[in-house]
Amino acid sequence: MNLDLVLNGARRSVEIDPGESLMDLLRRLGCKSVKNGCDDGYCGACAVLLDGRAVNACLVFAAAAAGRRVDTLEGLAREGVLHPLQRVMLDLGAVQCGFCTPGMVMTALDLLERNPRPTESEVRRALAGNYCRCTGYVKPVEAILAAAAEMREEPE
Amino acid sequence: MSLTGITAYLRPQTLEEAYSCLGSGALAVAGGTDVLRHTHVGVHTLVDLRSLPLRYVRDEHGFAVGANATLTDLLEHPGLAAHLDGVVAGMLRAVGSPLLRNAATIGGHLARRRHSDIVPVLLALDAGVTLYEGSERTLPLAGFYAEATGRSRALITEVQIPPAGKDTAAAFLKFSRTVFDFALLNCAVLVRRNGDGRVDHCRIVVGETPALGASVPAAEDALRGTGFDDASIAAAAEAAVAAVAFGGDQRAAADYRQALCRVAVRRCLEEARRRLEERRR
Repeated sequence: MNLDLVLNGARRSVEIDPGESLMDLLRRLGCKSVKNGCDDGYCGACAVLLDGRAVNACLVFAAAAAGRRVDTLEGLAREGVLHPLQRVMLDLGAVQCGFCTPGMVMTALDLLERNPRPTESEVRRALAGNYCRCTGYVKPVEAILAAAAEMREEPE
Repeated sequence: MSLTGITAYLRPQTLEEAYSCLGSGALAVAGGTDVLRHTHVGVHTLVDLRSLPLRYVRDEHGFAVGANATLTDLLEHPGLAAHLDGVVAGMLRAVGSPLLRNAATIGGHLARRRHSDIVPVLLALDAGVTLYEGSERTLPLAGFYAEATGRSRALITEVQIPPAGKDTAAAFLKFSRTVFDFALLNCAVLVRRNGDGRVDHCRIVVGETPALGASVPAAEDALRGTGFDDASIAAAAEAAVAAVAFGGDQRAAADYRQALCRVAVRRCLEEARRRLEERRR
């Protein structure tokens, strides 16, 4: 069947299988930032924004994205310039093996869109569904707080 | 996991159309978070219910929640988040992760009939549910779980949470391995005291026994009419332990659940009492 969606700001019309998950579709379309960690909704490595809200792409039918906005990590950089959250994650060493990072970034974007001034505890609660298999949670939390401050254009 | 063997994905625009789509081999889908985690033998058609105009949370003599409201929609509704000292919001924060709550809908959750922290709280609050089976009817949520089977084609369209006065408090508690794991056991209570401090209405719901949550009338009888003192709370907890048929599964053994139940009922009732007393000050 045919699916029309807006992927990273661009209108796309793609052929999908009616039972296909959004994660499988996005990876098939080349969005390899969408990681298949567990395919069961636990790990959050496949998190993407669906109409601006972070969801596990493995637990959403591709067909459910009809007419909706889907944003993946691939859409964040502008003309080669990283999004502030991406850059701060790198600068502060919040990336170990990197597998969970795209999902954490997309989940954090949902948080910061709604709450530009989160507390550490709010960041931790927002990341409750994003597992890091290197178990490095401190630096991502620090980086998200630092990026939030920068995105508000305030000195940390 | 992408589902195999699916040949059609339908997006009905009206309840009538949706209901007529749900014949043999068809499965209703809302957020998809539960459907995509399981295999479905004999299913070839998915019926996506989210084109139905049922995504709302309304503050109207209590709350009316459309079936397509996500768990996040409930959590982010200021009125509902504040209702009864935040008992609904507090419970929802321990259901799944934000990623799951952004997708899962209340209708889909109630329709799946298993593993729920939401059902005990809604039962304690005496919630109602509206179903569509050719026409709409509204019944208590407890009646929905008592009467229907998993094979019913009835579509859940709305959940109603009745208003509660200042003389009423509720509490919820779950025991689980991590905050958002399925509970090993959970408990929700609602208690209303009359002018002289006696309990004139109460609900004591125990869930994940491992059966879906259900009110425990013997425990409610033990509490109703008492002065809500420590002894009557203990008596209600003992009555619940005696009345519930606990079972064991991979999450917890029956005797462990029994031990948890005694503590859960006591703590929930103590919390409800504390909330009532705080309100009097």
